[in-house]
Amino acid sequence: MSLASLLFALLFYVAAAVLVGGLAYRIVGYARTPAPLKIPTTPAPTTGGGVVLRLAREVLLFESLFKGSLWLWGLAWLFHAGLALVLLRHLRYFTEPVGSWLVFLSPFGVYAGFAMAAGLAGLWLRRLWLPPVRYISTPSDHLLLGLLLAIAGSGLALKFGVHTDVVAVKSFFRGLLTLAWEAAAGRPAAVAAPLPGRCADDRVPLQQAAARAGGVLLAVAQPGRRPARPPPPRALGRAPRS
Amino acid sequence: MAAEIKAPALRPLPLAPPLLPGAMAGSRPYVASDKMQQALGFPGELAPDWQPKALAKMGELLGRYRSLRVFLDACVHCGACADKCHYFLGTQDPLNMPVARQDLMRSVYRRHFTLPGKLFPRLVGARELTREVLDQWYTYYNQCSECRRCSVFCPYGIDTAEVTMAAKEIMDSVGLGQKYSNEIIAKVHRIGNNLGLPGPALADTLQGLEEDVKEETGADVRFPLDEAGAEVLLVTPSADFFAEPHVDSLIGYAKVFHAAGIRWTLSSKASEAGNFGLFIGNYEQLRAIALRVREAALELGVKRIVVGECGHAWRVAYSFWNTLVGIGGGGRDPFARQLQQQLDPRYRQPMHICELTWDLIQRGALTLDKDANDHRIVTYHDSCNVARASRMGDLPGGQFTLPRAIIGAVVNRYVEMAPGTTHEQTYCCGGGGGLLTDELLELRVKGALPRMEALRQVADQHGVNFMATICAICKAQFSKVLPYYGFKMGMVGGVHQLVSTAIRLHAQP
Ligand code: HEM
Ligand code: SF4
Ligand code: SF4
Repeated sequence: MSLASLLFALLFYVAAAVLVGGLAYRIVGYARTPAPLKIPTTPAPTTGGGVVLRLAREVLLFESLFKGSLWLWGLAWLFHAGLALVLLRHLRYFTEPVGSWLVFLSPFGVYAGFAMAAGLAGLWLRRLWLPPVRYISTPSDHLLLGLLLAIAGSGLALKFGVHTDVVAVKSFFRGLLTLAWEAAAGRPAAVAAPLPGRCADDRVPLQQAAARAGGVLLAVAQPGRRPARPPPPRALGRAPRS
Repeated sequence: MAAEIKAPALRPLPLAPPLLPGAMAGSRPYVASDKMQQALGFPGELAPDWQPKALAKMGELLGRYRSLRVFLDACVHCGACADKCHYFLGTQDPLNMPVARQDLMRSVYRRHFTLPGKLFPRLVGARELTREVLDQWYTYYNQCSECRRCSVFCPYGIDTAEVTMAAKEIMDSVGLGQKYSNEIIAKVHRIGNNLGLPGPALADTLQGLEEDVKEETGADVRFPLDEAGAEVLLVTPSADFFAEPHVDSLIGYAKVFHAAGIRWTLSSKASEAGNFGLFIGNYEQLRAIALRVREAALELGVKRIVVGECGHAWRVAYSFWNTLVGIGGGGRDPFARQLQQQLDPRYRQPMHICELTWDLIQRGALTLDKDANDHRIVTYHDSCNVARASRMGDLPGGQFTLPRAIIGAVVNRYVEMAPGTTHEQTYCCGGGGGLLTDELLELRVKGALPRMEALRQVADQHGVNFMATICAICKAQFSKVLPYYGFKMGMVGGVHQLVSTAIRLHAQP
């Protein structure tokens, strides 16, 4: 096994571990922190089913953001939907056999790459353009957008510019996933090189963003206090640690 | 406040205004004296080692409230909340953008509590908690009325009010308290209400009201105080006892109880519904103040607890009384259980006065003459804490429909203000969250801008001359700032003020 292959293999494992571990760490941290006072965000649903529905609307449609700013909502949704499809399409490089739903989705994944890049570019322009948003931006906000744009750009370049041996890429990753090192070792590292490198880049923004999503779940998953019919059996707040 | 305070010009279009950095850097409330601080169990003044103490307190709060931790982590700096705050719209100071306000604390959080902030402070905008940063906290966390409007538009539901409360709690814990709020809390404990009205004076006032109403209507409407065995304990903001226009709503409640034949009482021990413990984000104070209501209810042996027209009081009652002190189920200590035995389970506990009145109207128990309000063209201002932090009735959105339904039953001419300025998106009056103090008048006048714009529109187009609301702070704030925008101060009043005008009292059998 060549040194480069070994390096990429290691990077892949580290990135995956940081992503999964960091995410779990954050979510467990949130779940362990008490919430002594019930503070639902308006308009709070009053039933468990209502909470699930609202959560779904917030996560899938960005309902609150829609009310907040139509432009921002459009760009953010374009980017996230694109990202989601692109990630799904990438499953092709990791799964064997490839599911039929995945085969169905794959062609859309290509357009999604463009949607994601366009959304990102729009978000970045907005951040540079609007004085209030420019005022609140930290260098890391710009860096994340730039990094993601570079990832999307290099991905599209691989698809339409420098062609990759997808079969080779796939066997490289299958090898990593099944811990069958020999399979990964024999492949020409040069071909696979761009991909694992990008996985490493991915981990910072993805882990942060995914942890955020986890936070949202915990933050909005609270019904309003009073159920529909009296007399009201109350949600019991956990006593604060003093 | 040397220069004369002027209201900002109304905007032709509701767009985000240009930024004026530092515009409100000089607006700060008076600092609480050391005596006042110590009365609440806080340090008297900033000690030399305040910084490690403040950080320790912040760590404690992060471990105590999940919301704070999530909110400080989650923000993506998208700016959806930026132009949603009335104080930003009115002052144009960029640090009054909700996200910028949060960042005052988030920057410190990142520096002291996160790895990227420790390794690359410049990159992620992390800042050491210095004296300058603390002063910025004091200035700008005292320019947030904790109205939660920003949270409605944030894709993550981040509630700046929570961050503001945490900041105030941290500042109190190192001896940097705000005079107005802390003085009021001390008065509640010492005398029983925010305005410092002692029991005998209260009894006098109530007797005077009985005489006034007798003269006006000929009916023997009572204003009972500390009457054991009454069915209902009414807990209402102390401003209702003598401030204008608040007192007219108190008269309205009394007439409703009288007409429905419900025996009720006020309590001199709990002669205040307001709970400023919420504003300063202090759980212990929040609870101590709420406990007075429980004690009064136990002593008087009442079957129901009803809350008067007060926004944040209703939030505390509706959302927190259950787990705080056991009113409405939740508390598990012996007194909470005793109270739950005592209270009548057929009614909501606690109940808002609007819920009570609306139930009576629906049952046909009140005789109402709408025409009596024909000199008024009415609009309704949703108060933040009712609109965005509580509910009423059985259906979602009851906090919006019930007060409007009552108004619909007592007035003929009603006009809604522009969408986007009412219901869950209502604009704060500009005086909530412990900012209703004279030294912050400039902030209060400017913060009222978006509401005044909406009111100007319905006043010009429909001749609206009365803005009803169900919050004591809104009433006081509007009475003060309406004239700056060319309105009459008497234009604001309570929903039960309208009820009071319309209700017809029969002689009791
Ligand atoms: C409730 C679900 C989510 C909402 C409402 C949401 C919303 C947003 C918004 C409004 C932005 C604005 C960026 C800008 O203006 O620059 C953003 C950025 C971003 N989101 Fe999400 N997001 C969600 C979930 C996710 C998930 C699950 C991921 C990844 C797996 C993700 C990845 C990202 C990334 C990478 C960025 C750009 C980097 C940044 O600015 O932090 N998001 N998100
Ligand atoms: S809670 Fe209200 S006052 Fe505070 S930042 Fe948000 S909108 Fe402004
Ligand atoms: S809307 Fe929410 S996520 Fe966006 S900047 Fe404001 S607080 Fe942060």
